[in-house]
Amino acid sequence: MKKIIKFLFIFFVFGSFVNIDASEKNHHSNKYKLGNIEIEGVYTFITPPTAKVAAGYMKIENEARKADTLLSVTNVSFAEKVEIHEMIMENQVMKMRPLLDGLNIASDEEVYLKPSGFHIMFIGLKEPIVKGKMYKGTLNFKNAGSITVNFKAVDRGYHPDKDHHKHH
Amino acid sequence: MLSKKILLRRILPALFITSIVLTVIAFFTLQKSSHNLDRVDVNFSLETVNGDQFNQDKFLKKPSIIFFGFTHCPDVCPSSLQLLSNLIQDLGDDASKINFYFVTADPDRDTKKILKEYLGYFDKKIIGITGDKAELNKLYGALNIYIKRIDLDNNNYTIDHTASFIILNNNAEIIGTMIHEGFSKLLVIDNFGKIQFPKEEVKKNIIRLLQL
Ligand SMILES: [Cu+2]
Repeated sequence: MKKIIKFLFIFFVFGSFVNIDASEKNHHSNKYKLGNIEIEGVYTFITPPTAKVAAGYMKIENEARKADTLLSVTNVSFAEKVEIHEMIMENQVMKMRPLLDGLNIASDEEVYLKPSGFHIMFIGLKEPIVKGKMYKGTLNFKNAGSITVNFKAVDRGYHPDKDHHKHH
Repeated sequence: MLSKKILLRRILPALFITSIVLTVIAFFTLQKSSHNLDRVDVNFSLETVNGDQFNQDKFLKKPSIIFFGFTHCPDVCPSSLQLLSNLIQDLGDDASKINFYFVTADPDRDTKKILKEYLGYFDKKIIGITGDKAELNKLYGALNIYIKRIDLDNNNYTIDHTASFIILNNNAEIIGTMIHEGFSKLLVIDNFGKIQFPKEEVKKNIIRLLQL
């Protein structure tokens, strides 16, 4: 009997470790590969309760010999409409415009979608963006095809580089 | 040739006195230049999201820090409100000596109710202002704020707007601005001499600028 209990105990403890390991892995794998396109640091900021819009950010790297274009973002259940936008600061005036032909990523280039620059604009939020939650969306590229990514909801002031202390 | 003695006894003291005189002159010149500051001298009548009166007299009791934005703005506006909330926290007790305002650039969509709920998410000292377009336009003009509606597809629109904070002293004069630097930091610019204060010391510089 004791042996069985011991076995069960070890089995149980080991099993729970395996489980923790699996969930940890999921949590940190904010990196995606789609052919020659690499996507990293996908996030969105938490929003005030009445906010009707949010913005999504990431880094897109194109290792292909040809340029590619992010044409659209679809399969977003938490917003009515999704657009690809650019933001320009001119003499302290903020200007935001949709990129109707998509976002171009030249060959061997990396493009950052980041605050005050390019962003995925979520319009008509159906629910506020809550910290820690993941928000799904499918990125559609002209050449590379489509991939579904998770936007990690983070506090304002978050910077993806701080996650892995790269530039210190 | 000048001997070392003469240098020490005559020239150095002379230089010393000259530098003091120049410092005093510079000080008074700087003080005087406050008369050249832009002043809010327009009459407008608005209300805060709580229904309190808001007019030009509100700029006379306390200094003010004002930001213009709208709730349909994805990152500049909420980030600015977050930075302002952080500054208010940093200021501690001194924060009560300043009025903080968020004025909508989009009165069509930002009703009192929507703006109030939105601001409830940030520091409670930030007072929301919305209301009549004509009255708001007077305020934008008085503070040199650029606001332009840009129509997009599907009846949607966005608003180009000045994204710097306006700092008024308690005489309704534009004494400085705060601008964004990389979205995580603010830079204070003094309108007396266009001095850019170091970003690490926004709190100290606000206290110095407003002489709190
Ligand atoms: Cu946008």
